[in-house]
Amino acid sequence: MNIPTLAQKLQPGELFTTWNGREPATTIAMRAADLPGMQALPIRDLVPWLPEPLWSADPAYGKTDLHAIRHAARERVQAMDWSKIKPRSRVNVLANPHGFFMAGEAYVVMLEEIVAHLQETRSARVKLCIAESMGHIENADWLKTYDLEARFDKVVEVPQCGAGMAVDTALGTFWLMQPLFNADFFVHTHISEMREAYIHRMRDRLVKPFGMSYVRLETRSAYHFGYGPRTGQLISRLIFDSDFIQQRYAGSVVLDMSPEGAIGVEGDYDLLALDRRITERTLRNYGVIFGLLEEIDECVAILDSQYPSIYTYSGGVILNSLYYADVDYFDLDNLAAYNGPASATRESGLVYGRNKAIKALVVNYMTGGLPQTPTLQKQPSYVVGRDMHNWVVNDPSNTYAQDCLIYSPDLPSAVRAACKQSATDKVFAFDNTQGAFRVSQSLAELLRDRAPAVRDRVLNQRLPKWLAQRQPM
Amino acid sequence: MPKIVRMVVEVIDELCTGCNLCSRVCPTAAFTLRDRLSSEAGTSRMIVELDHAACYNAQRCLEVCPHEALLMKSLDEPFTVGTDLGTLDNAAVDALCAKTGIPAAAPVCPCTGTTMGELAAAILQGADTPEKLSLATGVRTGCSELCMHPVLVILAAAGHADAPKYPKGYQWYAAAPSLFQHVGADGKLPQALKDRYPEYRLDEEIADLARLRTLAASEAATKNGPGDMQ
Repeated sequence: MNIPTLAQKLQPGELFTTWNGREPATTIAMRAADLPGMQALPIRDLVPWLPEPLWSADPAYGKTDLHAIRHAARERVQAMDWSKIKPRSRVNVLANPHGFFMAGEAYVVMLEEIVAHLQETRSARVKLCIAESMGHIENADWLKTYDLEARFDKVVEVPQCGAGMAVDTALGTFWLMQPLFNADFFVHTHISEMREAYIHRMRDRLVKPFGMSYVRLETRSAYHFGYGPRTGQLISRLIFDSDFIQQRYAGSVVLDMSPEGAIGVEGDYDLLALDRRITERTLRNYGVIFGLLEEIDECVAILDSQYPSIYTYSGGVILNSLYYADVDYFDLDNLAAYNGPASATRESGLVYGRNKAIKALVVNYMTGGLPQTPTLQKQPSYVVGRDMHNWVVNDPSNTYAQDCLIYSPDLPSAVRAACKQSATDKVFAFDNTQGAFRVSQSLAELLRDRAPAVRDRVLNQRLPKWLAQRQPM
Repeated sequence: MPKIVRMVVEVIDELCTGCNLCSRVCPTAAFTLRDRLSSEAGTSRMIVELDHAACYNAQRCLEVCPHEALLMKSLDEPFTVGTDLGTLDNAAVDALCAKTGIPAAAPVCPCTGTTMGELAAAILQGADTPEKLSLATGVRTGCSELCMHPVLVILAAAGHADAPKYPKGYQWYAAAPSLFQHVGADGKLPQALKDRYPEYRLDEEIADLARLRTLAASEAATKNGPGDMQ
C-alpha cells in the first residue's frame, strides 16, 4: 500500500462565509489543486531548517492539537508584567482579521489566554476588539466562524470608517479608530508572518498596525501618499511612541508563524525588542521563499483564496510578493518605488521593474473591497464563472474591471487559455495551502532546481546585510 | 476616468430604526434622517431617506448598519460619474496639483481610476468639500484607503481646509501630516526627527526620491513631453 506523502496530503486553505452572506466554498466549482498536474511543493523541501510547527491549519502536519498553543500562550502571558493595569480597569485586547485568517483557532486560543489572565490576575474588564482593517466588502464573518460572542464576554468589530480620535505625535496629529482605544489600557496582538513585506520591509514590522490596522482612513492614506517607499512605517512608530498610546499601552502578545503554521507565542512589554527578536527569525524562515520568487521566469497565476487579489497567499507569501520580486526590498539600500521614469531601472534599486514573469492571471476566487483592477490590467486576466464575474464587476472598488476581464465558464478552460496565450506550462496557484506552493510540475522542478543557490545567496550574502541594516543605531 | 455605478442601496422601511449610522459614513451624504410617515412600515419615529442620485455604490452603509435594514440592488441602467478635464485650463489644474506635490497624472483613487488632475478640475469647477468632490468624481466611493489623503490635501491647497463637515459623522477628519511637508529648503528633514529615528535614514529617502524626480524631469526634457512612467 502506498503511503501518501506530505505533499499529497496537503489541502488548499479553508474558505469562510463572509459577513454579507457570500459562501465561496459552495460557489467555487473546482479548486486549483484539483487541476491535472498541480502539486503541493512543501516549503520544507526548499527551506529545510524551518522549525517544526506547534500547530498548523492542515491536519497533514499532524499538529492540529491546540493544547500546545494554549500552553505556550499561558506561559508567555504569565511571564509578562501586567502591573500597569489596575484592578477593575477597562482593557481592550486588539485583534486583527489576518490573525484569524492565517492562524484560525490558534490565534483565538492565544486571545482567550490573554483575556483570561487579565481577568483573573488583574480583575480587569476586558473587551476583545477586532480591527476590521481591509476588504470591508467581504470580510469573513469571524464572530460566527469562531463563535467569538460565546467565547468572550465582550467582543466588538471595529470598522475603519467609524468614529475617529486624534493622537498627537512628533510630526503632528493623526487619527485612530476611536473604539479600539476607548479603554484605560490596551493589549496589542499580532501574528509574525510577512504579508506586505514590500511595504513594511521588515522594519518595525510588529508596530505596523499602529500606522495601518488601528487607524482611520486619513492616516492609512497618508502612509501611502505622504511618505516614501521605505518610510511609511515611520507613521507606525510616531503613533506608537505618542504619549497617548504609551500611557495606555499594556503589552504585546504575538503568535509566531512560519509558512507551515504557528511555531510559538511571543510576548513583551518592550515591543521594539520583541520586534527585533522576531525579525531575525522571520527573515531566516521566509527569506529563501522571497528569493525563489525572483527565479520564476514565467507563469500563469491562479487566485484561489479568500483575500483581494494581491493578498492571496501561497506558501505563506502573497501574490504581490511575486509582482515585486525583481528587487530585493529587504535590502534597505534599495528605494524600490512603485513607479518611476523608465530610466530608473530596477538594477538601480530605485524602482520595482513590475515583474514580467506573471504572464496571465486566472481569478477562480478572490474577495472584493479593495482596488484590484490595476493588478488585473497588468496582464491578461481570466475570471471563472458567472458568480465571480458579477462579484468583481459590482464591487465598489473595481468599477471598471469589466473592461479587462476575460470570462471563462470553468477553471480548466481558463487555465488552458491562459497557458496557451502565455506560451507557458508553469502554473502558480495562490490557494493558501499551509506550508506549500501549489504549482505545476514544470514550476516545481524549476523551484527545486534553483533552491540550493538561493539558500546559499540568502544565508551568506543577503541575510547578514538585512540584519546589519536592522541593528539598533 | 468615470466611475460606473451598477448598484445602489435600498432602505427596508420596516427594519430601519433611524439610528442614522449610515448617514454618518456615507461619502456622498446620500442619506437624510426624517420623521417616519404613517404610511411607512416600521415602529421607530425616525427613518433614513436615500437620495438615489447620490448613491454611488460605496456600500459603507451596509457595513455599519446594525439592523440589516439596507440591501444592494442592481440598476437596470448603470450610470457613470466623473469630471471632464477637456474643457479646463490645464495650467490651472497643474498649478493646483503642484501645491500638493502629487502630479496631475497620478491615479490617486484606484477604485474609480480618478487622477489628481480630475480632483483639481472638480475643485476648479466649484467642489469645495470632500462630499462634493466625491459627487463630482466618484473618489472616496470605494475603499477610501488610498484617496483620502490626496482629497484632503488638495482641498487644503485650494483654500478649503476649513470645509464644513456634513453630515456630523465620520466621513473624514483632517489630513494627516506627511513627511514631505517637513522637508526644508535645503532638502533636509528636521534634525530632531532624524536624531529620534536614525534607523529610518530619512535624508537618504528624500535624496533617493529627488534622484527619481531628476530622472523623470530629464526624460521629460529629452522627449519634450511628460515623463514616461513605468
